[in-house]
Amino acid sequence: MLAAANVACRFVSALAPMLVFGASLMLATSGNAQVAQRLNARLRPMLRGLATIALPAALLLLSLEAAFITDSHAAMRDPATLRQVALFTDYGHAWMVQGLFTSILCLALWLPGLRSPALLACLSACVLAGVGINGHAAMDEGLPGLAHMANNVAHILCSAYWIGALMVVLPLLYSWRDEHRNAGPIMARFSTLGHVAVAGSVLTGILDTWLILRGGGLSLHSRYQQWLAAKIAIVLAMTILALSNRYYWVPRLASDPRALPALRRQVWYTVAAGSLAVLLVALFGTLPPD
Amino acid sequence: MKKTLLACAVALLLPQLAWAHAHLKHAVPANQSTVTSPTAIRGDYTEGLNIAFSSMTVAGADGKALDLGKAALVPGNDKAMDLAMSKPLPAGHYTVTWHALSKDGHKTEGKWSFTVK
Repeated sequence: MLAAANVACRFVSALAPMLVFGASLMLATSGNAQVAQRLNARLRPMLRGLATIALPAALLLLSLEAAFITDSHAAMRDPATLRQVALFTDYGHAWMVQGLFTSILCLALWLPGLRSPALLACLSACVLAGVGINGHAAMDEGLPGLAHMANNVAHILCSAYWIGALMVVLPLLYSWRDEHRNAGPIMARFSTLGHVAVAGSVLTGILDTWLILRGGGLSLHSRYQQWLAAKIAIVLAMTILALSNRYYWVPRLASDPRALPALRRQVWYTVAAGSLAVLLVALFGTLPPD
Repeated sequence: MKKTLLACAVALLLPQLAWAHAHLKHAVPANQSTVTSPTAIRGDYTEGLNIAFSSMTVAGADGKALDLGKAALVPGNDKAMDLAMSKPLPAGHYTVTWHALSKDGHKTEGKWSFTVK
């Protein structure tokens, strides 16, 4: 039960800021301030909702870690133990970064007025940095340790842009017939950054996998590696979807009536697959890799 | 700048062994060994430890834990913890039970035993 709650909290507290980051960075780099402002206002209820569910999930992670460390459910509500976990463990330090910036992100989205997409992207990037310096990425010492954590943060940010930006692509595709003059250049910019994000996500993912598995090696019996293989298969499917979107359907948008519905459908598939990949990471990140 | 980049690349590419989760790599006294009374009992792990939630206890053949205080990190080495002996251990069979919280937030535990002649 606790293990399932831990996976659920890890999933929600990571996926929500990933979507906020990707959507906000997409808007911040859209090159069309007017459309970005309009979409920012339109997406605000969703971004608020995401930050709001991420906060309790992130805060609960400390209680769950305290219960795991001490083998005691009572530790979840014991202020002294929670304080010790927060202050005297590496997990606690990373949790404080994640919790602090998730709280600030919530405030930024709930306070009156519209925050700029650049600010929201920065705040959610800080949340994701807290996520990225924790767990298996914290297993190395010294310079390799810092490089491992930096690589993991880069992996999360690239992946976050990949799936989060689709939160902006979807409304653009649904208003394509009326707004394709504005949406076209925005999509072209997304395509450029999207290539970087997909390539970055795959390369940092490969490096991360090597860094984590280099000690224990490969094993068919490792549950960690079985779930990791499933995640790799999902990322492969997402890459194929991204390539077919960009190089098959987008060039046919003007000439083929099937292109727009196909793109909308495939973007939804990509969001679902990306979310599933994050769920798998939330799951196998709690398991020993070897 | 070039040197820093090179150092980063070398640090990343070196096939240095590391395991996620802290596993016991080396124990003093060694598992199943027979020794004269040790001055310290020490465990070396594959990963850095968070000592606030890591521990070592020693029990005699009757299963009763000895009062040896709390294990501490070996100075300058956060992958090792030890228990200093304030007085010699009497002859007999001992079991060390350890719990380790690694820096990646995962918990491992285990035992090893030795005999004092």
